[in-house]
Amino acid sequence: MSASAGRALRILETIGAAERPLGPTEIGRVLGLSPATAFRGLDALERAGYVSRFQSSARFVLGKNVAALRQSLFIRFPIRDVCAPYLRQLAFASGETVSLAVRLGWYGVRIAAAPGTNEVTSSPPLGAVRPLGEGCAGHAILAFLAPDAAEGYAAWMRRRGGRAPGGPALAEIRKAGFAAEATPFARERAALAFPLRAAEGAIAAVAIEGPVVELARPAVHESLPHWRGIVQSLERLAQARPALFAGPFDHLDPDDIVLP
Amino acid sequence: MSTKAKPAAPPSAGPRYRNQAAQRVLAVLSAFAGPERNLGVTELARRLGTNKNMVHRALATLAGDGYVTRDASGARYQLGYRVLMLAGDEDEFDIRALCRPALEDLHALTGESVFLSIVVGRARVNVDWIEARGRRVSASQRGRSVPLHCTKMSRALLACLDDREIADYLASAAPLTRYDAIFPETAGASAQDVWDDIAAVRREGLMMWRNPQQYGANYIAFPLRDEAGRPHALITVGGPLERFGSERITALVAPMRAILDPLQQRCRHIPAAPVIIEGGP
Repeated sequence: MSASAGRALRILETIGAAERPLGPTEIGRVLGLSPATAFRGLDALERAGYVSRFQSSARFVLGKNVAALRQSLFIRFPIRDVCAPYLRQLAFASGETVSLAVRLGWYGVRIAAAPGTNEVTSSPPLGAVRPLGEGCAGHAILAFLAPDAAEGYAAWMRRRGGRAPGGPALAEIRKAGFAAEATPFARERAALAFPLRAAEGAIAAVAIEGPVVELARPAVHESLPHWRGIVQSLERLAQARPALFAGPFDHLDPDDIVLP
Repeated sequence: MSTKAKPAAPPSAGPRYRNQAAQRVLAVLSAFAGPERNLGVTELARRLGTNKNMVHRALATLAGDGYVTRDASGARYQLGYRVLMLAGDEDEFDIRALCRPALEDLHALTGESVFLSIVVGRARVNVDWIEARGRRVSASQRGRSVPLHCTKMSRALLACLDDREIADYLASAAPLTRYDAIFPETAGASAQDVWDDIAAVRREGLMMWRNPQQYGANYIAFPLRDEAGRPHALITVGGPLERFGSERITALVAPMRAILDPLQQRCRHIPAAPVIIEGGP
């Protein structure tokens, strides 16, 4: 049972990650399957509503049941609804897309976003996931974890043959109150992320995803106090109403959450 | 590389293409899409009409990939984090994506045409709609922008702005009769007429309007606002008088509200995009 089901799930992930509709031949090539095997998986997925044909062709895109599943999961994150007005305020204030990344084990997952008002904004998909050591949102969470959790991350990275950000870098983030990250298209400028701290340490980060500050002097931006104020009011809410900020996977051991 | 794909066999190609093991696993996964959050093996087996052993094996496959996980009690299963990573292109702040399910439900309930409009500059513009079949209120003039004082629906959106913005708009739109030939249904309007309609929408929370033209249509419109009362959009249901009479609309108000309540609740919590009323013509 699991072989064909597993193949169907890999096909689903392949279609989900693709930027255009895919047919059985291309999927087979990506996954090392014959087109016929890929088609059988697609057929099962199509019957279950997980993929659908793109404009009645033999190429497939994600189907409406994927959206239904994602929606069922998203509603289990009340933090998305609580944060939405704050993200939107911050997006209007900064002009850039603003997102919320929640901690999921040793990863940060982008689960909500408010589009910016600037002419050009960029926006990774909801569900985009990175280890906490990568990117400003993860760094903002990592720098404000409880000490034993930060050590847990470092140990987990060592087991994977990677390295966690060093103590001095994290200390600097703690001192500034936010993490900055160079943007690939504007090297001298940086995106930034504020931690969202609950009683036991950071649970999420709010990131302004565009190149809003100078990389060399991120703390001198005149709007920084305003942006920080918006996040701090959210933080006060997190401390007053922790149940609104609880996630559906908080009970899992972070070491057990392994993502591709 | 050629992008021309070979035609795949149609889904009705028969048992040769059936892949029942995969389908069973996908059916178990689908059972988690819905309001019931945590499901046990027995319950899943009953619901899917299969045996517990099969469900166990399907859950093991799904849990191995993080598509389901044990819940906090450890006794039942819940949707897993891997579902988040099936990237969708949905954008929850896109008013069209947010409202689309409600438009579909309203259309299913009434059988009539349903429209979603927003304020763009000094006008109301339809950004989504579902047209009824046969004789219907039509959306044929797609993308047409309607000044905010012309048509009752536009006024329902105008009512969501603050009084100063409305006064500024009305001053800049004068003479208000400029578009009478295009929008005869509100021809000859004075600023007071517009203010009266605004007061009515604010009082009722909705706009009901019957086009006085012979063989005209009947409309009901609901504004969607944020917590500060700023407009996100307007949802309008319109149908021909003979089918969508006032009595029928009145009977449908409660079920329509039931569809719109959760959406309005959600919209309240999301600040509306700023509305920019530009200066005079």
